[in-house]
Amino acid sequence: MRDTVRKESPLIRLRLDASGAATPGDSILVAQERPFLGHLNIRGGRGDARFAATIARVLGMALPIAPNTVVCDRDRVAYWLGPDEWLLVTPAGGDTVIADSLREALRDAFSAVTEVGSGQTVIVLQGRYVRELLSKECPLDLLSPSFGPSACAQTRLAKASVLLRPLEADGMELIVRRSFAEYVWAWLSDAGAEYGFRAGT
Amino acid sequence: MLMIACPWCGPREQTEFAYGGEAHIARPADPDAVDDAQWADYLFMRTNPKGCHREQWNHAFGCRRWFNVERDTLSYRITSVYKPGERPAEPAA
Ligand SMILES: [Zn+2]
Repeated sequence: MRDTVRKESPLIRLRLDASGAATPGDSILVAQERPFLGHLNIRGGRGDARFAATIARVLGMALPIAPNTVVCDRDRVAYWLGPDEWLLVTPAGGDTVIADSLREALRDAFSAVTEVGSGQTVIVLQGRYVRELLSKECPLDLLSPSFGPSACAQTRLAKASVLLRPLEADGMELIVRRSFAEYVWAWLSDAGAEYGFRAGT
Repeated sequence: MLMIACPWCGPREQTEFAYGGEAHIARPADPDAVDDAQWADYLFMRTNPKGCHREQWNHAFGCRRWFNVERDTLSYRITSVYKPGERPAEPAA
């Protein structure tokens, strides 16, 4: 049964693969979806010093302690979501094994490890005017240089909640709920038209 | 528009937050021991002051945590922000 289940990106109806490739350039703003990555929501640690140590031992990386920061380790990114909540994004399919190991190691701790990858997706924007575009409907001060690599922020984009992470070289990563993905994409393509918004592949 | 300093995320615009009403309302420890009037008072009656008000806010579009804000309902000035379980600095007389 398992092989017969076809995974569908929440943006499948937009037929992005048929819209033609674009590459980042000075006046072009390129959006790409990165579907099917592993997303793990990790909760726990309130008043439990062993929690952080256990996670660090199992993952081989520490979770970010400072609010609104990320820790990157090879192909994994850990995002601070709250004082007792994190998101770990892994390569496709990597989340199940990690989730099992974490649950085993944390079985005596007050904690929860939940696969949420089917419920959200990743959109990456590249281009010189990415921050101007997002500033149209995002209340964060995105033009401030303090919001740079190693930062992240959960905030609002138009009427959707998004998790933003600045990338190198004018890039911005958006993690959005599955049910809001089409809405966010439609908003980006409309608000980004003046910057030459293109779907990349 | 208020700028509210989430205890974890720092200053964010009001549109990221949800209002949660008056803070520090304690549920009766033994609900069976109070009469209808006392229960209705707990459920419905709020102080609605003109001036210093301690209230709950949720950082709904951000870290989704509840916290407390002390705000002047006349000037909208926020005088204190503190986490659940904490007490605000005593307001100036
Ligand atoms: Zn917050």
